[in-house]
Amino acid sequence: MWWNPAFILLIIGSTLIDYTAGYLIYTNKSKLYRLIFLSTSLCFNLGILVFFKYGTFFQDNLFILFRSIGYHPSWVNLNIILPVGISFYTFQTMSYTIDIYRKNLEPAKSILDFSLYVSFFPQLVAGPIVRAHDFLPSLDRTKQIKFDPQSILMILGGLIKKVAIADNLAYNVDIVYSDPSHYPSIIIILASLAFYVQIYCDFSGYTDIAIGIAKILGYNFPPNFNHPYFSKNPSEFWKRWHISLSSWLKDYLYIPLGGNRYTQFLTYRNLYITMILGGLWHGASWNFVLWGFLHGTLLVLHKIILKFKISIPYTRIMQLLSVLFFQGIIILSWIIFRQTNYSLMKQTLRKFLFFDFNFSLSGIGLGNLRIFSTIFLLVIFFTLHFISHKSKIPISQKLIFTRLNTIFLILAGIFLFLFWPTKNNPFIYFQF
Amino acid sequence: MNIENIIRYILPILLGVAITLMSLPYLYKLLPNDYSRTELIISTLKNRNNNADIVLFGSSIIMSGINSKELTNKLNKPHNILNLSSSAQTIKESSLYYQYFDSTYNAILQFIEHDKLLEDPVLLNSVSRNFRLLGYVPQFSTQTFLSSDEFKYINSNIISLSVDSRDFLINTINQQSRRIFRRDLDMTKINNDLFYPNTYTQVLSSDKYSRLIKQYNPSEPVLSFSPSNKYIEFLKIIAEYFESINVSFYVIINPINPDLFNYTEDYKNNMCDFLSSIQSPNLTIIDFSNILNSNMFIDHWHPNAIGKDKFEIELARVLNSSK
Repeated sequence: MWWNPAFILLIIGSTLIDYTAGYLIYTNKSKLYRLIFLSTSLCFNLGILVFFKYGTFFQDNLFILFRSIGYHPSWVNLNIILPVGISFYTFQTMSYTIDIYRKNLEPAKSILDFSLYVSFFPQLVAGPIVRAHDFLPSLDRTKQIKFDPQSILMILGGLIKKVAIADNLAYNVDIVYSDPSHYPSIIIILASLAFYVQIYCDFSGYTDIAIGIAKILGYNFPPNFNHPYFSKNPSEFWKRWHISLSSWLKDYLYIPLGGNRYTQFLTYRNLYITMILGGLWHGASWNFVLWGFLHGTLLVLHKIILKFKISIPYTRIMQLLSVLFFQGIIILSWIIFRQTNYSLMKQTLRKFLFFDFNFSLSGIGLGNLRIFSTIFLLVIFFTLHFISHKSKIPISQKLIFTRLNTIFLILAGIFLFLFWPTKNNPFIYFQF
Repeated sequence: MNIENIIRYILPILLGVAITLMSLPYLYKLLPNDYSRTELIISTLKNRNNNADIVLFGSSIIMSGINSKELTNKLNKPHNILNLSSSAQTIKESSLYYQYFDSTYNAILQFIEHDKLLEDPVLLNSVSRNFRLLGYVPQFSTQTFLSSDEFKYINSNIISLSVDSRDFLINTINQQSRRIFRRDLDMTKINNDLFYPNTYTQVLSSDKYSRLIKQYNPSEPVLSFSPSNKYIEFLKIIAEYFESINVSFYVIINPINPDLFNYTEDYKNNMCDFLSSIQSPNLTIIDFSNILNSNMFIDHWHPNAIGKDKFEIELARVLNSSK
C-alpha cells in the first residue's frame, strides 16, 4: 500500500469513466447499450482492482503452480503496489453505475458533485462504503461547518478506540503473533482476545472519526458498526459488522446471484461465493479466502439450523451462552484473518484450541508483552461496549446531557494523552 | 453556536491533555516504573555521602553478577565499592553519570557486552528522557561523550520530553503487574540496593534455557571480530576524560556463555588480540569473556550464584594486581 501521486490518475480515471457511464446509462433507452455502458464501468473498476490488488497474488500462485510441474517461468516479477483506498472507491463507483442501471438513482448533477462523492476525504482511504443515494442528495442542501456535540464526541470516541485502545493492544498482538511457538496457550488466548478488540476498535474508531468529520461538514453517513460483538449468530453478525461492505455484497453480489430465492443448494452456493469474495476483498492472500470460507460455512450452518427449526430456549442464560459461543468462533476467525503465514496460523490455532495448561510465565519476555495494560484496556473496552449496547441512546448522547460532561471530557483528554502510543500504527483497514 | 460547542466540548479535552502534560514530570518521579533505579544512581552520585571510591557500571549482568560488598572483602586493600549497574545500561548511558566523578574516586569499572563493541555507541532517546525527567541536568563535560544530536535532545525542554514520555503510565501498570508473575523480581531491592541488586533468582527450566540459547546464539559461526571504530574512539575519549580527573578507568568485557557456541574461539581470540592492541596507560581493558563455564549461567548471559562468585574472584584478582 502506498501513497504515490501517480495513483491519482486511477481515481480520476474511475471518476471520469463512471460518471460518463452513469450519464449514458441514464439517458439511453436501449437495454443493450445500457448494459454495454454498465459493463464498461464494471470492467474498468474490477480491472484496476484485480490488477493492483491481486496481480502479484495471482502471479505468485502461478509461479508456484508452474514450479510444481517443473516449469520455471522467466517472466518479469511484478511488484505491484496497492494504491491507497482502491478497494473502497471502486466499490463506491460500481454501486453508482449499478444503481443507475437499476433505475434506483439519478446521475450526479455534475462531474464535480460526482468527484466529490468518489474522493470525499473522510471515507476515501478506509470507508465506510457510502452509497450515492445517501451522499448526493445532501449536496443540494446548503453546507456550513457545524461543530455539533454528537460529531465532536463521535470523533473523540473514535480517537480513543483507535489510538488509546487499538494501537496499545497491537503492541502485544504483534509480539505474540510473530512467534506463537514461544508462548503458552494463556498468552495466545490473551493476544487473540486483544486482536479481537483491536480490529474492532481500529476499524470502528476510524469510521467514527470519518462519520464525525463528515457530519461536521454537513454530510450524514449511516453507521458502519452496531455492536457486532453481541451477535448470537452469523446472520446477526453480518448485519452489525462493517455494515457498508456487507450490505454492498448483499445488494450487488448475493442478490444478483439469486440470493435465497431458489433452491437450498443455490442459496448455500451464493453464500459461499459472497463470503469468499468478501474475504478476498480484504486482501490478496489465502488466509482471507479461508476466513471468507469459514464465514460462509457459519452462515450456511445457521440457515440449516433455522431450517430444521432447532430452537433454543430464549432465556437470558442461553442468550449469553449463545453470544459467548459465537464470539469464541469469531475470535478464532480473526486468528485466521490476522495470520497470513500458514505455519504461524497453525501454531496459533493449535495453542488457542488445545490449552496446554502451562502457566509458567518466566523466560518469555514478560516485560515486553505489556500483559497488564492489555488486560486493563480489554476491561475498559468490554465495560464501555456493554454499557453502550445496553443503553438505548449512545454514550456520546448521554455525555452531552449530563452535568458532569466537562469532567468526563477532561478525563477523556487525560486518558487519550497517557495512552497515545509513542509508536504510530496505521489503520488496519488502510491496507485493504 | 460553533464557538459555544468548541468551548464546551473541545476545550475540556485539551484541558485534560494540558493538565497531564504539566503534571507529567511530577508523576514520572512519583509512580514506580522500570527506570526508578536511575533516580537512585543519580542521587547517590550527586550527594556523595557514601564515601565510595570504586564504582561499577554495566547492565543487568553486573546487577546479578557482582556483589560489591563481597568483592570488597576479596580485595587486599580497603575500598568502598558501589554497584551502580542497571537494567540494559549501555556505556552511553553510563557516560551520563561520569560528570559526577572527581579525583576523590579511585577507579571506574565499566562492564560491557562483547557484541556491543561491534556497533556504534548510541544514546537512546528514552534514556535521555528518563534522565531528564528524574532531575538530571547535563553538565558541559557530558557534551564530550555525546553526539551533537544526542546532546541537543537531552537538553530539550521538559515539555517536549514529557510528551515523548507519555507512555510511562503503561510502563508503571505493567511493571507493577509483573510483580505478580515474577515473585523473584524484588523491585524494592532493585530500586534501593547499591551493592547487589540481583534480579535473577528464579531457576529456568531446561526447555526455557534451550529456547533462550537458540534465540541468542548467532545463526552462523562468527569467526572474526570487527569492532566499531566509533566505539573504540569513544572508549579512548572516556579514558582521556578520566585521566584528566585522575581516576583510573577499566573496561571489562562480560563473560560469554559457552553454550552460545557460534561465538567461536577464533572470534574470542581475535577480540582478545584486538583489545590488547588498543590498551594504553589510561585505558585498561580486561577480557573476561572466557572466565565462566556454561553451568555458571542462569540463562544465556546472566551469571548464577556460582558464576557470581567466580566473577568476583577473577575481578578481585585483577584489581589486586593493579595499581
